[in-house]
Amino acid sequence: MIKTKSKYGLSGLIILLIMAGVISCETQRDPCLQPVSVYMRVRSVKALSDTTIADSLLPNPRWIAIDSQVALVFSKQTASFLLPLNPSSDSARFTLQPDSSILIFDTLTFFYDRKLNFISNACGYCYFFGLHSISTTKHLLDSVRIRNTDVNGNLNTPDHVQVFF
Amino acid sequence: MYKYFFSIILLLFPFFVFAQSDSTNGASDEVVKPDQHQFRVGVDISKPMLNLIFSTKFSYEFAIDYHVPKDLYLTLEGGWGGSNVDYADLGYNCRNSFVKVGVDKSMLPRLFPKDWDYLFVGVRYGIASITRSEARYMTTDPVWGQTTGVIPGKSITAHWAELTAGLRVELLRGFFAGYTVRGKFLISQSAFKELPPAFVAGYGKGDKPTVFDFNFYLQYALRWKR
Repeated sequence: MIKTKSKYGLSGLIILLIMAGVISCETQRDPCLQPVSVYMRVRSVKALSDTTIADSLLPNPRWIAIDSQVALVFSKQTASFLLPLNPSSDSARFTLQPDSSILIFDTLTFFYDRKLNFISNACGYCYFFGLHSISTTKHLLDSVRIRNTDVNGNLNTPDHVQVFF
Repeated sequence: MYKYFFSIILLLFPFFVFAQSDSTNGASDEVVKPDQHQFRVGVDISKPMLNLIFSTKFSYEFAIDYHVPKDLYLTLEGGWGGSNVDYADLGYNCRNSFVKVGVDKSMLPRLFPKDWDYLFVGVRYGIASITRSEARYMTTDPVWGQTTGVIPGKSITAHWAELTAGLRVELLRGFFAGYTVRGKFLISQSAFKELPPAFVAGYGKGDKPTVFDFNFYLQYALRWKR
């Protein structure tokens, strides 16, 4: 019996290690390891034929969120843009300057539904969006097309919007 | 599931130790039976200590068990607790009470009729009734700024299963000390999809489908003759 119970000491040490592990794991909020921002992916394209399109690289593009007056500057000669939709409203207005050195731009208004999405206790909430429609001026733009209505942070889906020049 | 493999091995470690002891002490095959009934009440003294360390959560846990033939212990555990989440982007309170029922099986051969020390493995079924207050949230966007809102409060029922292991040692006549380590597996995960409680007394972090936990019990045994 004494020999058997002497082994309790070792398992007691194990439980102390487990206790220390459990306590150390719970001393703070878990880190947020997921993206909390959801972006709408917009691509500028040009039609090569009735069935073929290609990227239309914009020389020095700039998007401006009209209602917050925040300018989004992208790298030169790019056709791909990530735009945040307004979680406080059912629409978001942007101006698009293909070349920020030339004061010609189009205004695009995106209309959508908002859906509150719980990520985790570590990350909190974010908003997903369902695109309805887009209205646009056509100073430089030819047309716009919604290709994917679900703006939910899933990168393995088609771009959400194509803007045709 | 593989990521929990090491933890499960650790959970069962005391029984590897037991296996070594058993092979060297030459125990006979004769089964020693207790000469008394035993009913125990106990309190988990680790939880009040943890309550002092963590200001955002609290819990209290109690346990009773009754010895039945084949060195099985029918166990009923219960308690209550809560948590306060107060982050800049998320805030709510939870309160819950819980009950667990199950059985522990002694893995040590009884050496004499009054030998009540044992190592054990066991299983539990746990259920908790949880009340979550309305929750405030805030999202922050570099372009559009901050958006705030409120999620209505909710009552939730959670179910889980546990694998347990541990030991009990009779320090004085009728007074026991010992620990239980637990692997917990949430059964009703769908109930926690929408803002799971940060902490559920009796279970642990509500947003984890698998949780490891421990208790350190002080218990008193009531015995009477068979």
